[in-house]
Amino acid sequence: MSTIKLLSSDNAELAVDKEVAERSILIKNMLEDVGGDMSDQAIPIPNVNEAVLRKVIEWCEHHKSDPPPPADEDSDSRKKSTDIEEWDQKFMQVDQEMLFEIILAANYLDIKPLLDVGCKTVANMIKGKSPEEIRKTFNIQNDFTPEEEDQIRRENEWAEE
Amino acid sequence: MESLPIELLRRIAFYSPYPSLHSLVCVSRKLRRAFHDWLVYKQIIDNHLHGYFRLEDEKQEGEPDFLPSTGRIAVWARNPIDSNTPPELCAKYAFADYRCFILKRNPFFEKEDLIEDFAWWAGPMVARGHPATQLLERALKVSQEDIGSPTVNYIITFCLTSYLLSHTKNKIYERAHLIAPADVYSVHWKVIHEQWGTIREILNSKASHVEVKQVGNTRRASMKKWREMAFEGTRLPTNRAEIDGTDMLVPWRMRTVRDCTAFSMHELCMRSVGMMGQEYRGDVKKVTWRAMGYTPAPSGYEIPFEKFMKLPEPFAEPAEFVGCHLEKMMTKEFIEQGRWVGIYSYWRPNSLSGMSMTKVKFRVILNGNAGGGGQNGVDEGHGSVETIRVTGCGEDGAGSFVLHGRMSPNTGKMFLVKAYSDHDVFWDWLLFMTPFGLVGSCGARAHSELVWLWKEDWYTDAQVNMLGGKLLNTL
Repeated sequence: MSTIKLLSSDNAELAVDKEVAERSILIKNMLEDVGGDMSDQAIPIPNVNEAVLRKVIEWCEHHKSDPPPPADEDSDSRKKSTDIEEWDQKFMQVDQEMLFEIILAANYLDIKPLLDVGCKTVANMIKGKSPEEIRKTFNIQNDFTPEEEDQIRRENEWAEE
Repeated sequence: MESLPIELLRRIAFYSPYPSLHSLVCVSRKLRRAFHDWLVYKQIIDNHLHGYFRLEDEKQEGEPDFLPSTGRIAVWARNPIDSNTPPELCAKYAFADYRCFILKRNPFFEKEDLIEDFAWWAGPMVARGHPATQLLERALKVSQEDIGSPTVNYIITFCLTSYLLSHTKNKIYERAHLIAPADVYSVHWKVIHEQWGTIREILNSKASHVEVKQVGNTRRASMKKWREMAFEGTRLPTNRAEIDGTDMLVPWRMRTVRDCTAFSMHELCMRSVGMMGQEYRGDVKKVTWRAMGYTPAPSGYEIPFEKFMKLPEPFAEPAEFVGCHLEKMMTKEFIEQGRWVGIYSYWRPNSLSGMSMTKVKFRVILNGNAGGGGQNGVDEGHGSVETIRVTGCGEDGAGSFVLHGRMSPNTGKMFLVKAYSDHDVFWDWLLFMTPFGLVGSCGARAHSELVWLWKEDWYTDAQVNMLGGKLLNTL
């Protein structure tokens, strides 16, 4: 099995099985473009640091034998898997910064299933929370002016009866 | 989280049911920009997120947040959201969509306040053919005590009639009784027959009073025909206080002319449609209908209600739904445009049989003076109610016929005489314009049959929604 090297934004070189790296559509297309042989040269991944890249590779390792995601964005199979499998749940038990970094990396590297796992994880963190609880959870500043808050309250009156 | 670009935030929205979105748009400016958008609301509706969403209290420890999907649910074909829809309105549709799906899973739905809640969004959603309408069957197990308001009763009647028209399954009669007990929504043909009979009796008894008028030096006696009486009032009530302030909750307990109001007649007419829908559709497939020379009744999903009902937004005052079809449906344009088809029924000892009517065309005569009308064809002789002359023609199994009579735009009433071209039989038609078309009773003296006419162009490609409904049943 051939191995390729990835170069993180902080200049760490990581060796990965080609099959594993090809979970990333970005890398897969890149390898196809250059004719497949990149054994001596590291592929630069300028948007992703070492820690995150290691995490992403760990995910790709575990999921290397999954069937490829359907090409059609809105196809059914994606909708069907609204749940997160146990391994992925554990995998996503990281601090928030890492979680969002993984989402950004999955988006950049074009790994749809990982991106969805990340988004579902965030969605689950939001579920059942009030706006104030969301602010606390994600450390978000309330930057609405009192007038805007008033406006929002008025707009929402219909839902609160 | 705010560090994520908008397209990734919107991806999170893909997995966020309405209550999450509702919180998110109140968190900060950036999140509001990302989530309070027609695309986001349309997306969560079209992906049936709420169809799979598991409520907190129905979730067992360790169970996933979403129900496993068992099949494809069709997209809500008449989802009204597009780029021109204000986000506030999109949010209302998304919330109503959420309510539609959690309807049958809510264990407290029998409670009165939840019935009341249902009335705040169900009318506009059912009228737009939302696929979750199919869930009504399991959801609406209500009894009279649960319904404190004739407004709510009207909306439930509309929804259940639409539901019954949409089903082609066997034994729908039994199913109808599963939905709601007879004191709320009776569609047994015997009950409907009795109720129309009672109304005929009430009206006939009133009409048999001889009216004595002093004309000059002589006193003239005349018989007033029931169909000429403005028994139904001057208009359909339009606000909640007016509707609920009257004793109209059980419209079929009519005992006097005063009970035969436009409101109670509309309720009975809609229920009659529900009954005809199930009797005539039953297990008969459309193909069979056509082979028998019948035009099949349109399903509740097919009728494009939003085209001729001035539908309120979800969560608007429910009373706005009552009578919101009259403004358009009682116009010359609407009545004259296209052809009508329909059925009239005759009662058999143990059932109901029907005859098909086709090629029915109407003419509304706004400027005619015939019939003693006042200006612009508006006749003041019909009590104090404005009436307009109507004529029409059509065909049925007994031959071609003509129709003539009058209509009252404010109450939706239309009374017509049906006369066949080549034999000497006259039928009195007493119809009301319901959202399902013209419905009422036809009769010659004590005879009372049912008539239902709908527009020929109400058949649309409803396959998508029908499929959606079928698979929903497995959810």
